[in-house]
Amino acid sequence: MLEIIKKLKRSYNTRILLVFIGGMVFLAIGLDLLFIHIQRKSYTDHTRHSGLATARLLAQAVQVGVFAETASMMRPVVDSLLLQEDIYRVVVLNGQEKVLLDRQIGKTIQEEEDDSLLQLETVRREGNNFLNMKHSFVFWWPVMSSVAYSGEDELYFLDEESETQEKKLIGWVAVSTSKQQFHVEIRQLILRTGMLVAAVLFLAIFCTVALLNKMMHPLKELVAKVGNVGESDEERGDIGLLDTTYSTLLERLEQSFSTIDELRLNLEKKVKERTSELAMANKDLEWKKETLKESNASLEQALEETKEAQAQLIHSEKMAALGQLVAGVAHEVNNNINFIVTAAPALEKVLEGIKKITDVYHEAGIQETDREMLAALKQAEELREELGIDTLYKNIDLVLNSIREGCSRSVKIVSELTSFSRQDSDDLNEFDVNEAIFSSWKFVDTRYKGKVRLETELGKVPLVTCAGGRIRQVFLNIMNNGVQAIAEAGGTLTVTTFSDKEMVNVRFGDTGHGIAKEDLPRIFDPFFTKKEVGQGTGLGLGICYKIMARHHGKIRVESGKGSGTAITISLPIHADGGTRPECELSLISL
Amino acid sequence: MRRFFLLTCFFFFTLIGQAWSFEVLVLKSGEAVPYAIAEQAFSELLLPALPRRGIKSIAENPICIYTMRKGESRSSVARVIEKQRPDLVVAIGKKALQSAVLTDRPIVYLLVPRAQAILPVGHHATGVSLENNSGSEFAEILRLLPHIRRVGVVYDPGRTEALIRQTVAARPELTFLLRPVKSARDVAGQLESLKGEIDLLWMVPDLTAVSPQTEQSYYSFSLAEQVPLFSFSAKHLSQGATLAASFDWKEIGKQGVDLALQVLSGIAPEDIAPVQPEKVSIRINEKTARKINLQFPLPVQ
Repeated sequence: MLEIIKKLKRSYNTRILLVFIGGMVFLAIGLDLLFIHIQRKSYTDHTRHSGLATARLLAQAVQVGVFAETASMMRPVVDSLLLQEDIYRVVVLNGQEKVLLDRQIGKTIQEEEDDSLLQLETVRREGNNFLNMKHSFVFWWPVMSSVAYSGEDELYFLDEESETQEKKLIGWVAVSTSKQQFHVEIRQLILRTGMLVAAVLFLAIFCTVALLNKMMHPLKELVAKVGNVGESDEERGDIGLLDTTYSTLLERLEQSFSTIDELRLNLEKKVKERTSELAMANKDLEWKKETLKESNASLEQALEETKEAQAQLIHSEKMAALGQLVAGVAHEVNNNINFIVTAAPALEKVLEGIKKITDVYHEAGIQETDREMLAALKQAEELREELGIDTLYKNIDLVLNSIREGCSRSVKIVSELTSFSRQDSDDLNEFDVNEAIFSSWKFVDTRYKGKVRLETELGKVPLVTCAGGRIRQVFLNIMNNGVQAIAEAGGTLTVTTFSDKEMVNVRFGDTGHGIAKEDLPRIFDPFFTKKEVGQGTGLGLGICYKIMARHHGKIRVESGKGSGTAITISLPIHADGGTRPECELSLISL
Repeated sequence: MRRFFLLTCFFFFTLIGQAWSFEVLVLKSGEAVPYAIAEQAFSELLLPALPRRGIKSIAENPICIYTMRKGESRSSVARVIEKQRPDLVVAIGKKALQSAVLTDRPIVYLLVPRAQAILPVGHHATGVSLENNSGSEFAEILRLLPHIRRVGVVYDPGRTEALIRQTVAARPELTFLLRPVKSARDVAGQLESLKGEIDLLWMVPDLTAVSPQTEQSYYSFSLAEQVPLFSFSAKHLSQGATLAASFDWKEIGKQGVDLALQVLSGIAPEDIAPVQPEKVSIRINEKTARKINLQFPLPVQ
């Protein structure tokens, strides 16, 4: 026996085999433990998920019973749940934590220790609905119910905004399951895993021994043959063959080295050629750079001249817009003056009649005798009846009302015009966007307004710090473009306001003819217009862009031929635009 | 000369009368589909009926629509109305009417349940309410289901006593089993007491008796007792009701136009009697009807 062990120790083959088997056993035990741990955790998670799902379903099923606090409505559901093997207790509480129903079967002393009612405070504090007790698992779930309707409207209609109904807590359910079955499952798991690993290990060792023997067999034969050189002609022939092979290999190696040397020399030559070519190209580049500098200086000068021309044109556009506005206001004021102009001759006529009557009375007053005075008074009465004094008084009231109406309308126009233009400067002020939409709409081109329906969806937006007059100009330009686009076929201009943390957004959506895909990138270019000659200069949107850039705002345009146009203006709530880009522009073709 | 003067005055004031263009503000309580349908029908029919000739006013667009957002205060909406000073406010829904009555503008309301309870003393409003207390829907139900004699109803006397009394009086051929409740918690218990006693369960527009918590009790009762559930709103059909009264929202918009034209012609709104919806039909959920083995002797459209 001792001899066999000594022999095995000397055997290289045996040592490799023993180290390999030892490693495999060690690895198998480690993997087995890891596998059991993962399986146990997975099984616990599975138990937790299924238990919580049961509690959640129970909470949903007893919702009506908990709300009505009627145990009889919940009992059938709870009793059917208790038929499940591992569930031994179900408790239902109301919102004030009063027990509405407590059903249990097969209660044991150990399980009594896990009194689930005492754990509700823990569940609330830790927010963990799964309690892993000593002898049981307890699953808690809140019973939620929709909040009552806030008004009678909701009885009839389902508002799209309030489809997700608010819920409130009306009670709790607790489902207790015994750990007995859980422990049995875990034990079986360990047993099955251990047996499987042992079987795999045995098979692996067997295969390794067989494989190792097969692999070592040719080596053993070679060693035996080398040990017997010179003893056999046949074996000497094999050694000769081996020697021939080594010689061939050495020759091939030398050939390879000489090829590599040749390639290295060629490579150096090519590098020299490339370096001289690059030097030539560099000289050429320097010359082109000088030429480019000269061209750049000329272009800068041309740009300065263009900027001056553009400023003059923008001034012309402003004057044109002012002329258009003045024409509109003059038209309105003229309408109102018509009230007064038309009423004035009528008033003059009435006053003339009254003057006549007054003169006759005056004549009567200065008569010397009573008879003459009575005759004059009679004449005055006749004149009163002839002219119809009551009708004259009524006419005075009607004419004065007409004049008053004309005056009040004029005052309204002037007031609104003052309001529209009072912040027309670059000073920053607190600006109400929703108010500005209505005031700007009143100055939209009157030739097209009659064919357009204005819809507003104004959200609750904060005041914005900006140059109000400029922003009103932006609104007016965009509205004018919108109504002109709609005016041919009639349609709707929808103005929507909404806000986020940083920006207040205004969306102008029209149902007009839209902008073609190829025109969309050019709409902010100065002088680009598709309107007829005399209808527009093409500077309106360019000015809008400049104003928005000054405010570090955003412009988003969505349009397509025949699909209408939506322009969204985003204004920063606070005027500290230092970190934002000058103007973010998005153009989306529909 | 006098005749010429009077003739000039006559034509002058006649033309001024034709020159007014009216500003109408349509105020919607929210985004619900019936509000949108009624508003669209109203706008489409009113626009051609308004005057188009004469001197243009500054804001000549006649109809402006404003949709209230969730949580928006009534006073802020009232400020919007005061700022615009329209000739007429059309309030669609209860919240819109509650906001509009804070101003002095004339109002025509649509789709407002129990509108008279909202209107203050000295109001300037008329409109189309959402009640139908004539019991006319039961005539159609009896035509479809002639075997029905006993109708169970759970209600809060503090809210819907008048509706129940008027309907009971209008339908002497039916026996109504009335189950009053004081809170939503009593509904399930009162429904239990109707088991085996009724041929039809009637769900009334009562905020105490009908809530998200109690609606399930009605559906469960209907299914367990094989009794059809008749609701006041078609929205319950998809949830488990068998029959439901359904209003024609377009027709309500049309009724609103008639009232609006009367108000714009100069009649004070408070002198115009409010009206009820003219077209009420009965809709049936055939799936639920099959589940409770409900047979219709006559063909159903």
